[in-house]
Amino acid sequence: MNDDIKVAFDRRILMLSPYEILPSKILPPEVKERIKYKRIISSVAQIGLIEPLVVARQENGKYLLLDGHVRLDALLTQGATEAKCIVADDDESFTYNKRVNRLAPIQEHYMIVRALERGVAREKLALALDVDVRVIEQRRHMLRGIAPEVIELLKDKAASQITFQKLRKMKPIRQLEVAELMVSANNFTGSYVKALLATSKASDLHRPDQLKRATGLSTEQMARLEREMTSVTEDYKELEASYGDDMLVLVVAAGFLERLLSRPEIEKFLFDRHPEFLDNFRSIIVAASLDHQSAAAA
Amino acid sequence: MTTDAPEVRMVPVDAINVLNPRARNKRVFQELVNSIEHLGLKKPITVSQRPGRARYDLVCGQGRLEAFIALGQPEIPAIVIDVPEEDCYVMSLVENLARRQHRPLELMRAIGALRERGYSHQEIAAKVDFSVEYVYAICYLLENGEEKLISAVDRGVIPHSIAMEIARAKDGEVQQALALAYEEKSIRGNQVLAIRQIIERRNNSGKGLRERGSRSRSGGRLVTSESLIRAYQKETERQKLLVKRATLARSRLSFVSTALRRLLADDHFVALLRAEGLQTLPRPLAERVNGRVQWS
Repeated sequence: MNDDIKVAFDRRILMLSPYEILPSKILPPEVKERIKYKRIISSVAQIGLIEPLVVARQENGKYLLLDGHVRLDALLTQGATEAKCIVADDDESFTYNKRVNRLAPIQEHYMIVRALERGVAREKLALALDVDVRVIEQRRHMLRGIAPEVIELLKDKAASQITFQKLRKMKPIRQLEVAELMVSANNFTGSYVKALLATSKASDLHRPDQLKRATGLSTEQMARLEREMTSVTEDYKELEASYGDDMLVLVVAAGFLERLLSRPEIEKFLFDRHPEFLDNFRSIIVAASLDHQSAAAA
Repeated sequence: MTTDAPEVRMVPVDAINVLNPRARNKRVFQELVNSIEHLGLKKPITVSQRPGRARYDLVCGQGRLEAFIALGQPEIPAIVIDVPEEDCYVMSLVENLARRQHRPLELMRAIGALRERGYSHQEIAAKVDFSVEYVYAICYLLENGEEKLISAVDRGVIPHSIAMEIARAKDGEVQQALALAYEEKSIRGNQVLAIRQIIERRNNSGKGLRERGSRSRSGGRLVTSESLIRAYQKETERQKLLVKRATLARSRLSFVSTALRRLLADDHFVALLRAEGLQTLPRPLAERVNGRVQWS
Protein backbone atom coordinates (compact mmCIF):
# COMPACT_ATOMS: atom_id res chain seq x y z
CA MET A 1 0.00 0.00 0.00
CA ASN A 2 1.27 3.42 -0.85
CA ASP A 3 0.47 6.40 1.24
CA ASP A 4 -1.67 8.90 -0.53
CA ILE A 5 0.15 11.95 -1.74
CA LYS A 6 -1.29 15.12 -0.30
CA VAL A 7 -3.19 17.39 -2.66
CA ALA A 8 -1.98 20.83 -1.64
CA PHE A 9 -4.78 22.87 -3.23
CA ASP A 10 -8.56 23.21 -3.20
CA ARG A 11 -10.14 20.99 -5.89
CA ARG A 12 -12.67 23.66 -6.72
CA ILE A 13 -11.35 25.95 -9.45
CA LEU A 14 -12.34 29.60 -9.02
CA MET A 15 -13.02 32.07 -11.79
CA LEU A 16 -11.63 35.31 -10.36
CA SER A 17 -11.46 38.78 -11.79
CA PRO A 18 -7.81 39.59 -12.56
CA TYR A 19 -8.29 42.75 -10.49
CA GLU A 20 -8.99 40.75 -7.33
CA ILE A 21 -5.54 39.13 -7.51
CA LEU A 22 -2.54 40.77 -5.84
CA PRO A 23 0.89 40.01 -7.32
CA SER A 24 3.36 38.70 -4.72
CA LYS A 25 6.30 40.32 -6.47
CA ILE A 26 7.03 43.08 -8.93
CA LEU A 27 8.32 41.82 -12.27
CA PRO A 28 11.82 43.16 -12.96
CA PRO A 29 11.34 45.92 -15.58
CA GLU A 30 13.81 44.33 -18.03
CA VAL A 31 11.59 41.23 -18.15
CA LYS A 32 9.10 43.05 -20.36
CA GLU A 33 11.74 43.56 -23.03
CA ARG A 34 12.43 39.88 -23.42
CA ILE A 35 11.22 37.63 -26.21
CA LYS A 36 9.84 35.08 -23.75
CA TYR A 37 7.65 37.72 -22.12
CA LYS A 38 6.21 38.77 -25.47
CA ARG A 39 5.71 35.12 -26.37
CA ILE A 40 3.71 34.51 -23.19
CA ILE A 41 1.58 37.63 -23.78
CA SER A 42 0.87 36.49 -27.32
CA SER A 43 0.12 32.88 -26.34
CA VAL A 44 -2.42 34.04 -23.75
CA ALA A 45 -4.03 36.20 -26.45
CA GLN A 46 -4.12 33.28 -28.92
CA ILE A 47 -5.08 30.36 -26.68
CA GLY A 48 -5.96 31.81 -23.30
CA LEU A 49 -4.72 30.33 -20.04
CA ILE A 50 -3.72 26.70 -20.40
CA GLU A 51 -2.78 26.00 -16.80
CA PRO A 52 -4.65 27.94 -14.12
CA LEU A 53 -3.03 30.69 -12.04
CA VAL A 54 -2.24 29.67 -8.47
CA VAL A 55 -3.37 31.95 -5.64
CA ALA A 56 -3.49 31.90 -1.84
CA ARG A 57 -6.51 33.17 0.04
CA GLN A 58 -5.59 35.91 2.49
CA GLU A 59 -7.23 36.83 5.79
CA ASN A 60 -8.73 39.99 4.29
CA GLY A 61 -10.50 37.93 1.63
CA LYS A 62 -8.15 38.99 -1.14
CA TYR A 63 -6.08 36.60 -3.23
CA LEU A 64 -2.29 36.61 -3.37
CA LEU A 65 -0.78 35.40 -6.65
CA LEU A 66 1.77 32.60 -6.23
CA ASP A 67 2.29 31.38 -9.78
CA GLY A 68 1.64 33.12 -13.11
CA HIS A 69 2.80 36.73 -12.82
CA VAL A 70 3.42 37.27 -16.51
CA ARG A 71 0.16 35.55 -17.45
CA LEU A 72 -1.76 37.79 -15.03
CA ASP A 73 -0.06 40.75 -16.67
CA ALA A 74 -1.22 39.45 -20.06
CA LEU A 75 -4.82 39.05 -18.84
CA LEU A 76 -4.85 42.59 -17.44
CA THR A 77 -3.42 44.01 -20.68
CA GLN A 78 -6.16 42.30 -22.64
CA GLY A 79 -8.85 43.50 -20.27
CA ALA A 80 -9.92 39.93 -19.48
CA THR A 81 -12.75 39.77 -16.97
CA GLU A 82 -11.97 36.41 -15.41
CA ALA A 83 -9.14 33.96 -14.90
CA LYS A 84 -9.24 30.36 -13.75
CA CYS A 85 -7.40 30.01 -10.48
CA ILE A 86 -6.31 27.22 -8.17
CA VAL A 87 -6.38 28.09 -4.48
CA ALA A 88 -3.28 26.73 -2.75
CA ASP A 89 -3.28 25.53 0.85
CA ASP A 90 0.04 27.24 1.57
CA ASP A 91 1.25 30.73 0.68
CA GLU A 92 4.79 30.08 -0.61
CA SER A 93 5.57 30.85 -4.25
CA PHE A 94 9.01 29.26 -4.43
CA THR A 95 8.11 25.68 -5.36
CA TYR A 96 6.17 26.54 -8.54
CA ASN A 97 9.14 27.93 -10.42
CA LYS A 98 11.87 25.98 -8.67
CA ARG A 99 10.44 22.66 -9.80
CA VAL A 100 10.31 23.51 -13.50
CA ASN A 101 12.38 21.13 -15.61
CA ARG A 102 13.50 23.32 -18.48
CA LEU A 103 13.19 22.07 -22.02
CA ALA A 104 16.62 21.64 -23.64
CA PRO A 105 16.77 22.81 -27.28
CA ILE A 106 17.19 19.23 -28.56
CA GLN A 107 14.03 18.16 -26.69
CA GLU A 108 12.22 21.20 -28.06
CA HIS A 109 13.28 20.09 -31.54
CA TYR A 110 11.89 16.58 -31.03
CA MET A 111 8.60 17.92 -29.70
CA ILE A 112 8.18 20.23 -32.69
CA VAL A 113 9.03 17.45 -35.14
CA ARG A 114 6.46 15.12 -33.57
CA ALA A 115 3.75 17.78 -33.55
CA LEU A 116 4.36 18.52 -37.24
CA GLU A 117 4.39 14.79 -38.06
CA ARG A 118 1.01 14.41 -36.36
CA GLY A 119 -0.43 16.99 -38.71
CA VAL A 120 -0.25 20.23 -36.71
CA ALA A 121 0.10 23.07 -39.25
CA ARG A 122 3.36 25.03 -39.14
CA GLU A 123 1.40 28.25 -39.32
CA LYS A 124 -0.69 27.32 -36.30
CA LEU A 125 2.42 26.56 -34.23
CA ALA A 126 4.13 29.73 -35.39
CA LEU A 127 1.12 31.82 -34.43
CA ALA A 128 0.74 30.24 -31.00
CA LEU A 129 4.44 30.66 -30.22
CA ASP A 130 4.60 34.13 -31.77
CA VAL A 131 7.44 33.29 -34.13
CA ASP A 132 7.92 33.39 -37.89
CA VAL A 133 7.17 30.17 -39.82
CA ARG A 134 10.85 30.16 -40.81
CA VAL A 135 11.81 29.74 -37.16
CA ILE A 136 9.63 26.63 -36.93
CA GLU A 137 11.37 25.27 -40.04
CA GLN A 138 14.79 26.02 -38.56
CA ARG A 139 13.88 24.19 -35.36
CA ARG A 140 12.55 21.28 -37.38
CA HIS A 141 15.85 20.83 -39.21
CA MET A 142 18.07 21.82 -36.30
CA LEU A 143 19.86 18.46 -36.06
CA ARG A 144 20.39 17.90 -39.77
CA GLY A 145 24.04 16.94 -40.33
CA ILE A 146 24.79 16.54 -36.62
CA ALA A 147 26.57 13.33 -35.55
CA PRO A 148 24.44 11.00 -33.37
CA GLU A 149 27.09 10.90 -30.61
CA VAL A 150 26.98 14.69 -30.46
CA ILE A 151 23.19 14.68 -30.16
CA GLU A 152 23.47 12.20 -27.31
CA LEU A 153 26.09 14.38 -25.60
CA LEU A 154 24.07 17.59 -25.87
CA LYS A 155 20.55 16.20 -25.47
CA ASP A 156 19.89 17.84 -22.12
CA LYS A 157 22.28 20.79 -22.49
CA ALA A 158 21.41 24.42 -23.17
CA ALA A 159 23.17 24.28 -26.56
CA SER A 160 21.30 26.68 -28.84
CA GLN A 161 20.28 26.81 -32.46
CA ILE A 162 23.54 28.67 -33.27
CA THR A 163 25.60 25.85 -31.78
CA PHE A 164 24.13 23.36 -34.21
CA GLN A 165 24.44 25.74 -37.16
CA LYS A 166 28.18 25.93 -36.48
CA LEU A 167 28.65 22.25 -35.62
CA ARG A 168 27.03 21.30 -38.92
CA LYS A 169 29.94 22.89 -40.79
CA MET A 170 32.36 20.46 -39.16
CA LYS A 171 33.06 16.84 -39.96
CA PRO A 172 31.74 14.36 -37.34
CA ILE A 173 35.08 13.79 -35.57
CA ARG A 174 35.55 17.51 -35.02
CA GLN A 175 31.91 17.90 -34.00
CA LEU A 176 32.43 15.40 -31.23
CA GLU A 177 35.66 17.06 -30.12
CA VAL A 178 33.97 20.46 -29.94
CA ALA A 179 30.92 19.07 -28.13
CA GLU A 180 33.20 17.47 -25.54
CA LEU A 181 35.04 20.75 -25.02
CA MET A 182 31.75 22.58 -24.57
CA VAL A 183 30.61 20.07 -21.97
CA SER A 184 33.94 20.18 -20.14
CA ALA A 185 34.00 24.00 -20.08
CA ASN A 186 30.25 24.01 -19.36
CA ASN A 187 30.01 26.72 -22.00
CA PHE A 188 27.31 26.43 -24.65
CA THR A 189 27.32 30.01 -25.90
CA GLY A 190 27.39 30.99 -29.55
CA SER A 191 30.67 32.89 -29.23
CA TYR A 192 32.44 29.85 -27.81
CA VAL A 193 31.35 27.51 -30.58
CA LYS A 194 32.22 30.19 -33.15
CA ALA A 195 35.73 30.41 -31.76
CA LEU A 196 36.06 26.63 -31.84
CA LEU A 197 34.77 26.58 -35.40
CA ALA A 198 37.23 29.25 -36.46
CA THR A 199 40.13 27.32 -34.98
CA SER A 200 39.19 24.02 -36.59
CA LYS A 201 41.59 22.59 -39.12
CA ALA A 202 40.56 23.05 -42.74
CA SER A 203 40.55 19.26 -43.15
CA ASP A 204 37.95 19.03 -40.35
CA LEU A 205 35.45 21.20 -42.20
CA HIS A 206 33.01 20.37 -44.98
CA ARG A 207 33.51 23.68 -46.81
CA PRO A 208 36.79 25.20 -45.59
CA ASP A 209 36.94 27.97 -48.22
CA GLN A 210 33.55 29.32 -47.28
CA LEU A 211 34.47 29.67 -43.64
CA LYS A 212 37.77 31.43 -44.18
CA ARG A 213 36.03 34.05 -46.30
CA ALA A 214 33.35 34.57 -43.70
CA THR A 215 35.79 35.21 -40.84
CA GLY A 216 37.96 37.67 -42.77
CA LEU A 217 41.16 36.13 -41.41
CA SER A 218 44.15 35.41 -43.60
CA THR A 219 45.29 31.84 -44.17
CA GLU A 220 48.43 32.44 -42.08
CA GLN A 221 46.43 33.88 -39.20
CA MET A 222 44.11 30.92 -39.25
CA ALA A 223 46.97 28.44 -39.40
CA ARG A 224 48.63 30.05 -36.40
CA LEU A 225 45.41 30.03 -34.37
CA GLU A 226 44.85 26.40 -35.26
CA ARG A 227 48.32 25.29 -34.21
CA GLU A 228 48.15 27.12 -30.90
CA MET A 229 44.69 25.90 -30.12
CA THR A 230 45.50 22.28 -30.90
CA SER A 231 48.58 22.05 -28.70
CA VAL A 232 47.00 23.90 -25.78
CA THR A 233 43.84 21.86 -25.97
CA GLU A 234 45.75 18.58 -25.80
CA ASP A 235 47.57 19.61 -22.62
CA TYR A 236 44.37 21.01 -21.23
CA LYS A 237 42.38 17.85 -21.70
CA GLU A 238 45.09 15.78 -20.07
CA LEU A 239 45.45 17.98 -17.01
CA GLU A 240 41.93 19.19 -16.46
CA ALA A 241 40.74 16.01 -14.84
CA SER A 242 43.42 15.90 -12.16
CA TYR A 243 43.87 19.62 -11.53
CA GLY A 244 41.17 20.09 -8.90
CA ASP A 245 42.44 17.14 -6.89
CA ASP A 246 46.09 18.12 -7.23
CA MET A 247 45.49 21.67 -6.06
CA LEU A 248 43.67 20.57 -2.98
CA VAL A 249 46.03 17.81 -1.98
CA LEU A 250 48.76 20.43 -2.36
CA VAL A 251 47.00 22.81 0.02
CA VAL A 252 46.48 19.96 2.47
CA ALA A 253 50.16 18.99 2.05
CA ALA A 254 51.36 22.55 2.62
CA GLY A 255 49.31 22.73 5.80
CA PHE A 256 50.89 19.51 7.03
CA LEU A 257 54.41 20.68 6.14
CA GLU A 258 53.77 23.91 7.99
CA ARG A 259 52.84 21.93 11.10
CA LEU A 260 56.00 19.80 10.71
CA LEU A 261 58.28 22.81 10.45
CA SER A 262 56.65 24.47 13.44
CA ARG A 263 58.21 21.76 15.63
CA PRO A 264 61.84 22.73 16.35
CA GLU A 265 62.93 19.08 16.71
CA ILE A 266 61.68 18.16 13.27
CA GLU A 267 63.00 21.32 11.69
CA LYS A 268 66.42 20.64 13.19
CA PHE A 269 66.37 17.04 11.94
CA LEU A 270 65.64 18.19 8.41
CA PHE A 271 68.20 20.99 8.63
CA ASP A 272 70.91 18.50 9.65
CA ARG A 273 70.03 15.54 7.45
CA HIS A 274 68.00 16.81 4.48
CA PRO A 275 68.61 20.54 3.99
CA GLU A 276 67.44 20.30 0.34
CA PHE A 277 64.03 19.03 1.52
CA LEU A 278 63.77 21.78 4.09
CA ASP A 279 64.33 24.55 1.54
CA ASN A 280 61.82 23.10 -0.86
CA PHE A 281 59.23 22.50 1.86
CA ARG A 282 59.56 26.13 2.86
CA SER A 283 59.09 27.37 -0.66
CA ILE A 284 56.06 25.12 -1.16
CA ILE A 285 54.44 26.50 1.99
CA VAL A 286 55.08 30.05 0.80
CA ALA A 287 53.89 29.24 -2.71
CA ALA A 288 50.69 27.69 -1.42
CA SER A 289 49.83 30.83 0.50
CA LEU A 290 50.88 33.04 -2.44
CA ASP A 291 48.66 30.90 -4.60
CA HIS A 292 45.65 31.74 -2.45
CA GLN A 293 46.43 35.38 -2.72
CA SER A 294 46.93 35.30 -6.46
CA ALA A 295 43.89 33.11 -6.95
CA ALA A 296 41.91 35.52 -4.84
CA ALA A 297 43.29 38.56 -6.64
CA ALA A 298 43.31 37.06 -10.14
CA MET B 1 -18.06 34.43 -11.05
CA THR B 2 -19.39 32.27 -13.83
CA THR B 3 -20.38 28.63 -13.74
CA ASP B 4 -18.18 27.26 -16.52
CA ALA B 5 -15.11 26.75 -14.36
CA PRO B 6 -13.39 23.50 -15.37
CA GLU B 7 -13.31 20.74 -12.78
CA VAL B 8 -10.51 18.87 -11.10
CA ARG B 9 -11.03 15.10 -11.18
CA MET B 10 -9.02 12.10 -10.03
CA VAL B 11 -7.84 10.42 -13.23
CA PRO B 12 -6.18 6.95 -13.35
CA VAL B 13 -2.53 7.47 -14.30
CA ASP B 14 -2.59 4.50 -16.69
CA ALA B 15 -5.48 6.02 -18.68
CA ILE B 16 -3.35 9.02 -19.76
CA ASN B 17 -1.47 9.07 -23.09
CA VAL B 18 1.63 11.24 -23.20
CA LEU B 19 1.37 12.46 -26.79
CA ASN B 20 4.61 14.32 -27.02
CA PRO B 21 7.03 12.99 -24.41
CA ARG B 22 10.30 14.65 -23.68
CA ALA B 23 13.44 13.47 -21.93
CA ARG B 24 14.30 15.36 -18.80
CA ASN B 25 17.16 16.10 -16.50
CA LYS B 26 17.24 13.25 -13.96
CA ARG B 27 18.43 15.33 -11.04
CA VAL B 28 15.70 17.93 -11.50
CA PHE B 29 13.11 15.16 -11.86
CA GLN B 30 14.23 13.47 -8.64
CA GLU B 31 13.92 16.80 -6.85
CA LEU B 32 10.37 17.12 -8.17
CA VAL B 33 9.51 13.62 -6.88
CA ASN B 34 10.90 14.47 -3.44
CA SER B 35 9.09 17.78 -3.35
CA ILE B 36 5.75 16.18 -4.25
CA GLU B 37 6.30 13.41 -1.71
CA HIS B 38 6.95 15.90 1.10
CA LEU B 39 4.84 18.94 0.20
CA GLY B 40 2.13 17.28 -1.86
CA LEU B 41 1.01 18.11 -5.39
CA LYS B 42 0.93 21.89 -5.78
CA LYS B 43 -0.88 22.12 -9.10
CA PRO B 44 -3.19 19.70 -10.98
CA ILE B 45 -2.06 18.41 -14.39
CA THR B 46 -4.19 19.18 -17.47
CA VAL B 47 -5.60 16.42 -19.71
CA SER B 48 -8.03 16.32 -22.59
CA GLN B 49 -10.84 13.81 -22.96
CA ARG B 50 -12.92 13.58 -26.16
CA PRO B 51 -16.63 12.84 -25.78
CA GLY B 52 -17.31 9.11 -25.58
CA ARG B 53 -13.67 8.14 -25.04
CA ALA B 54 -12.29 6.43 -21.96
CA ARG B 55 -8.67 7.55 -22.32
CA TYR B 56 -7.11 10.97 -21.82
CA ASP B 57 -4.41 12.89 -23.70
CA LEU B 58 -1.87 14.80 -21.63
CA VAL B 59 -1.77 18.55 -22.23
CA CYS B 60 0.70 19.53 -19.54
CA GLY B 61 2.29 18.01 -16.48
CA GLN B 62 4.47 15.15 -17.75
CA GLY B 63 6.87 15.64 -14.84
CA ARG B 64 4.09 15.60 -12.23
CA LEU B 65 2.46 12.56 -13.88
CA GLU B 66 5.73 10.61 -13.92
CA ALA B 67 6.41 11.63 -10.34
CA PHE B 68 2.99 10.27 -9.28
CA ILE B 69 3.75 7.01 -11.09
CA ALA B 70 7.18 6.86 -9.42
CA LEU B 71 5.44 7.34 -6.06
CA GLY B 72 3.08 4.44 -6.78
CA GLN B 73 -0.09 6.54 -6.98
CA PRO B 74 -2.95 5.04 -9.02
CA GLU B 75 -4.69 8.36 -9.67
CA ILE B 76 -3.70 12.00 -10.12
CA PRO B 77 -5.77 15.20 -9.77
CA ALA B 78 -6.28 16.61 -13.27
CA ILE B 79 -8.16 19.43 -14.94
CA VAL B 80 -10.13 17.72 -17.70
CA ILE B 81 -10.79 19.73 -20.86
CA ASP B 82 -12.10 18.73 -24.27
CA VAL B 83 -9.86 19.73 -27.19
CA PRO B 84 -8.80 17.95 -30.41
CA GLU B 85 -5.51 16.04 -30.37
CA GLU B 86 -3.89 18.63 -32.62
CA ASP B 87 -4.62 21.34 -30.06
CA CYS B 88 -3.11 19.20 -27.32
CA TYR B 89 0.18 19.27 -29.22
CA VAL B 90 0.03 23.04 -29.63
CA MET B 91 -0.94 23.70 -26.01
CA SER B 92 1.73 21.38 -24.71
CA LEU B 93 4.40 23.11 -26.81
CA VAL B 94 3.18 26.53 -25.73
CA GLU B 95 3.23 25.51 -22.09
CA ASN B 96 6.82 24.32 -22.49
CA LEU B 97 8.18 27.09 -24.70
CA ALA B 98 6.23 30.17 -23.68
CA ARG B 99 7.72 29.97 -20.25
CA ARG B 100 9.97 32.42 -18.59
CA GLN B 101 13.27 31.24 -17.21
CA HIS B 102 13.65 32.62 -13.73
CA ARG B 103 17.03 33.89 -12.76
CA PRO B 104 18.20 32.06 -9.63
CA LEU B 105 18.15 35.36 -7.78
CA GLU B 106 14.50 36.04 -8.60
CA LEU B 107 13.67 32.48 -7.64
CA MET B 108 15.45 32.71 -4.32
CA ARG B 109 13.81 36.05 -3.57
CA ALA B 110 10.62 34.03 -3.09
CA ILE B 111 12.35 32.65 0.00
CA GLY B 112 13.42 36.14 1.05
CA ALA B 113 9.81 37.31 0.58
CA LEU B 114 8.55 34.70 3.06
CA ARG B 115 11.12 35.96 5.55
CA GLU B 116 9.86 39.51 5.02
CA ARG B 117 6.32 38.33 5.68
CA GLY B 118 7.59 37.38 9.12
CA TYR B 119 8.07 33.61 8.89
CA SER B 120 10.97 32.05 10.80
CA HIS B 121 13.71 30.07 9.07
CA GLN B 122 12.11 26.89 10.45
CA GLU B 123 8.67 27.78 9.11
CA ILE B 124 10.08 28.61 5.66
CA ALA B 125 12.07 25.36 5.60
CA ALA B 126 8.88 23.40 6.22
CA LYS B 127 7.00 25.33 3.52
CA VAL B 128 9.55 24.73 0.76
CA ASP B 129 10.98 21.37 1.89
CA PHE B 130 14.57 22.46 2.32
CA SER B 131 16.69 22.19 5.46
CA VAL B 132 16.70 25.05 7.93
CA GLU B 133 20.43 25.47 7.21
CA TYR B 134 19.69 25.87 3.49
CA VAL B 135 17.05 28.52 4.12
CA TYR B 136 19.33 30.29 6.57
CA ALA B 137 22.18 30.27 4.03
CA ILE B 138 19.96 31.60 1.23
CA CYS B 139 18.65 34.42 3.43
CA TYR B 140 22.22 35.29 4.44
CA LEU B 141 23.43 35.31 0.81
CA LEU B 142 20.41 37.41 -0.25
CA GLU B 143 21.03 39.96 2.50
CA ASN B 144 24.67 40.24 1.42
CA GLY B 145 24.01 40.58 -2.30
CA GLU B 146 25.92 37.39 -3.14
CA GLU B 147 24.24 36.81 -6.49
CA LYS B 148 26.98 34.63 -7.97
CA LEU B 149 26.99 32.35 -4.97
CA ILE B 150 23.17 32.13 -4.94
CA SER B 151 23.23 31.19 -8.59
CA ALA B 152 25.90 28.55 -7.94
CA VAL B 153 23.92 27.08 -5.03
CA ASP B 154 20.78 26.99 -7.14
CA ARG B 155 22.55 25.15 -9.94
CA GLY B 156 23.95 22.65 -7.45
CA VAL B 157 27.58 23.63 -8.12
CA ILE B 158 28.31 24.69 -4.56
CA PRO B 159 26.76 23.16 -1.44
CA HIS B 160 24.95 25.88 0.53
CA SER B 161 27.18 25.35 3.56
CA ILE B 162 30.32 25.99 1.50
CA ALA B 163 28.73 29.08 -0.11
CA MET B 164 28.16 30.48 3.39
CA GLU B 165 31.82 29.86 4.28
CA ILE B 166 32.95 31.60 1.11
CA ALA B 167 30.67 34.58 1.72
CA ARG B 168 31.95 34.94 5.28
CA ALA B 169 35.62 34.20 4.66
CA LYS B 170 38.25 36.75 3.84
CA ASP B 171 40.00 36.11 0.52
CA GLY B 172 43.01 34.18 1.82
CA GLU B 173 40.82 31.94 3.94
CA VAL B 174 38.69 30.75 1.06
CA GLN B 175 41.27 28.27 -0.13
CA GLN B 176 41.62 26.80 3.35
CA ALA B 177 37.86 26.49 3.64
CA LEU B 178 37.79 24.59 0.37
CA ALA B 179 40.66 22.36 1.37
CA LEU B 180 38.96 21.53 4.64
CA ALA B 181 35.70 20.69 2.92
CA TYR B 182 37.61 18.51 0.51
CA GLU B 183 39.43 16.69 3.26
CA GLU B 184 36.12 16.06 4.98
CA LYS B 185 34.87 14.67 1.69
CA SER B 186 31.90 17.04 1.59
CA ILE B 187 32.95 18.11 -1.92
CA ARG B 188 34.75 16.34 -4.73
CA GLY B 189 37.85 17.45 -6.60
CA ASN B 190 36.15 18.42 -9.85
CA GLN B 191 33.58 20.42 -7.90
CA VAL B 192 36.42 22.32 -6.31
CA LEU B 193 37.59 23.39 -9.73
CA ALA B 194 34.18 24.81 -10.55
CA ILE B 195 34.01 26.54 -7.18
CA ARG B 196 37.44 28.12 -7.69
CA GLN B 197 36.30 29.50 -11.02
CA ILE B 198 33.26 31.08 -9.40
CA ILE B 199 35.36 32.57 -6.63
CA GLU B 200 37.79 34.00 -9.15
CA ARG B 201 34.96 35.56 -11.14
CA ARG B 202 33.43 36.87 -7.94
CA ASN B 203 36.73 38.53 -7.04
CA ASN B 204 37.20 39.85 -10.56
CA SER B 205 33.87 41.42 -11.19
CA GLY B 206 32.03 41.62 -7.88
CA LYS B 207 29.27 39.57 -6.35
CA GLY B 208 26.54 40.59 -8.76
CA LEU B 209 25.57 38.82 -11.94
CA ARG B 210 25.76 40.45 -15.32
CA GLU B 211 22.44 41.23 -16.95
CA ARG B 212 21.38 38.16 -18.85
CA GLY B 213 20.09 40.15 -21.78
CA SER B 214 23.44 41.63 -22.68
CA ARG B 215 24.95 38.29 -23.52
CA SER B 216 22.15 37.03 -25.71
CA ARG B 217 22.13 40.25 -27.68
CA SER B 218 25.83 40.04 -28.48
CA GLY B 219 25.27 36.41 -29.48
CA GLY B 220 23.15 37.56 -32.37
CA ARG B 221 25.81 39.87 -33.77
CA LEU B 222 27.72 39.10 -36.93
CA VAL B 223 31.12 37.50 -36.48
CA THR B 224 33.91 39.99 -36.99
CA SER B 225 37.48 38.84 -37.21
CA GLU B 226 38.39 40.84 -34.08
CA SER B 227 35.60 39.43 -31.96
CA LEU B 228 36.52 35.99 -33.18
CA ILE B 229 40.18 36.37 -32.31
CA ARG B 230 39.20 37.79 -28.94
CA ALA B 231 36.89 34.89 -28.18
CA TYR B 232 39.53 32.46 -29.30
CA GLN B 233 42.27 34.17 -27.33
CA LYS B 234 40.15 34.19 -24.22
CA GLU B 235 39.59 30.48 -24.56
CA THR B 236 43.27 29.74 -25.22
CA GLU B 237 44.28 31.96 -22.30
CA ARG B 238 41.87 30.13 -20.04
CA GLN B 239 43.29 26.80 -21.09
CA LYS B 240 46.93 27.95 -20.96
CA LEU B 241 46.54 29.39 -17.49
CA LEU B 242 45.02 26.18 -16.25
CA VAL B 243 47.75 24.10 -17.88
CA LYS B 244 50.41 26.28 -16.25
CA ARG B 245 48.88 26.06 -12.81
CA ALA B 246 48.17 22.37 -13.14
CA THR B 247 51.71 21.52 -14.23
CA LEU B 248 53.18 23.48 -11.36
CA ALA B 249 50.82 21.95 -8.84
CA ARG B 250 51.64 18.49 -10.09
CA SER B 251 55.40 18.94 -9.88
CA ARG B 252 55.24 20.39 -6.37
CA LEU B 253 52.99 17.62 -5.24
CA SER B 254 55.19 14.93 -6.67
CA PHE B 255 58.16 16.50 -4.90
CA VAL B 256 56.35 16.47 -1.55
CA SER B 257 55.25 12.86 -2.04
CA THR B 258 58.73 11.66 -2.96
CA ALA B 259 60.39 13.55 -0.12
CA LEU B 260 57.90 12.30 2.46
CA ARG B 261 58.16 8.76 1.17
CA ARG B 262 61.92 8.85 1.69
CA LEU B 263 61.64 10.48 5.08
CA LEU B 264 59.07 7.94 6.26
CA ALA B 265 61.49 5.15 5.39
CA ASP B 266 63.81 6.60 8.04
CA ASP B 267 62.98 5.20 11.51
CA HIS B 268 64.52 8.20 13.17
CA PHE B 269 62.13 10.56 11.40
CA VAL B 270 59.11 8.37 12.13
CA ALA B 271 60.04 8.32 15.83
CA LEU B 272 60.26 12.11 15.77
CA LEU B 273 56.82 12.41 14.18
CA ARG B 274 55.38 10.12 16.81
CA ALA B 275 56.91 12.15 19.59
CA GLU B 276 55.29 15.28 18.15
CA GLY B 277 51.95 13.53 17.58
CA LEU B 278 52.18 14.08 13.84
CA GLN B 279 52.46 10.47 12.70
CA THR B 280 49.10 10.52 10.90
CA LEU B 281 49.28 12.16 7.50
CA PRO B 282 46.09 13.86 6.26
CA ARG B 283 44.31 11.20 4.25
CA PRO B 284 44.50 12.70 0.74
CA LEU B 285 48.23 13.28 1.25
CA ALA B 286 48.81 9.78 2.60
CA GLU B 287 47.15 8.35 -0.51
CA ARG B 288 49.62 10.21 -2.72
CA VAL B 289 52.62 9.28 -0.62
CA ASN B 290 51.68 5.60 -0.58
CA GLY B 291 51.18 5.76 -4.31
CA ARG B 292 47.64 4.46 -4.15
CA VAL B 293 46.55 7.19 -6.50
CA GLN B 294 48.04 6.54 -9.89
CA TRP B 295 49.36 9.41 -11.96
CA SER B 296 47.59 9.61 -15.27
